Amino acid sequence: MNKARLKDAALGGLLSNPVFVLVLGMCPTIAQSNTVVNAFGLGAATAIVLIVSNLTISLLRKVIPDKVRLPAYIVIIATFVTLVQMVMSGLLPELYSSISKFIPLIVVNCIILGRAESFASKNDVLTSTIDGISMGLGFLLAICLLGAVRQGLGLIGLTLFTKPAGGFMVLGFLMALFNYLMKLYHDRHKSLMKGA
Amino acid sequence: MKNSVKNTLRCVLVLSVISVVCVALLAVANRFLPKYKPSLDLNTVTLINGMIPSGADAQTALDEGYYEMLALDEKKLADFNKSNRAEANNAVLAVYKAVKGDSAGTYIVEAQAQGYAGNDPIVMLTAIDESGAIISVVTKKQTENSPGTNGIFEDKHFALLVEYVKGKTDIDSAGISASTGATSGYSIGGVANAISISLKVIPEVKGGKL
Repeated sequence: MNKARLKDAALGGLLSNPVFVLVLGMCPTIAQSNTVVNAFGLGAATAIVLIVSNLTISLLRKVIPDKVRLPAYIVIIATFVTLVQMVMSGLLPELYSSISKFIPLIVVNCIILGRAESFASKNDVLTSTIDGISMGLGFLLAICLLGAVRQGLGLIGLTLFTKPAGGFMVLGFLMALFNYLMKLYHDRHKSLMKGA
Repeated sequence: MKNSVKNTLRCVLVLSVISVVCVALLAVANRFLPKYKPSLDLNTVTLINGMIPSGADAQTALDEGYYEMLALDEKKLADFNKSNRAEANNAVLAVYKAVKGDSAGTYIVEAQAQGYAGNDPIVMLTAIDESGAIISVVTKKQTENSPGTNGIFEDKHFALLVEYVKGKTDIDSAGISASTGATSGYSIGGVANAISISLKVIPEVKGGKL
């Protein structure tokens, strides 16, 4: 097993964060990050689907013919989304009623299909699962951070930021901040490597 | 030619197997996961008390048995629902009765109907007096709207709905739409179907047929 690849997969959620770096899955990110609870609910549902679908698609990668890979991925992803929806509606009805409209949209969330197509279909089960966990956690943390900032700004009277337009502004700011911090990290890492 | 037929057959076979396995998984999950069941809990009593005040607060009304859930024959209720439903998801779930307090004698029907496709059914509580006329309605469960709105429609439209249905023994979507100004057609249809089937069940309950 390639340790470097495993390390890249594990750190992918941070260094290639799906929200702040890859800019994937923007629709649910903006729409359901008006409160932390909604953001956590949708983020967790997306992360679970991402992990399980990555695992399954990686397991079946040598079986699924290339010509029907996308329909096959969609069927698998839709099954897991439906399972998550059934569990949520039965066990967490209040949270479910808040975010129910966006659960079915997880099927066509670019993060899920994108990682299935570009990663899980080309890597072994362990690496794909770790990638799913990393990307899922990265998405969850990003959407929760966005939710916390928006809700906090709303609580101090800046209600514009709880609306979609304000959501875009907060997302843009957080994206800029994140990428700036990543640049500082990469520059420092480079200078340390040169020094060594 | 032979290879291309073989490849096509392989594609169809793999997709079919994946689909069958996924459907089987969902069927098994559907069998074992908890489903919504009506119950006379504090939430339900609070909603009923809000519609038809009992003279006591919800906790007292619950503790002292101001309302009771009528024991209906499940098979007869299923047959009734099958004969009277407007669409597949339209059903009476439970019937309660106020046995104490200021609203004693009032029936409250918990019924569901489909609003927008893909959402869970809307569950309504309809309070009906002894003569079979509606006293009030309230939404118990719905996933039609984003949080922040009270009920299926905007607050102002729902308030008009409650006024419109008072005293009625028969309602339809057109009447609700015209009187409330609400424009969400599928939600209006769901509400109308839930209330309609609630009105239909009361004569059956009073006649001892359920």
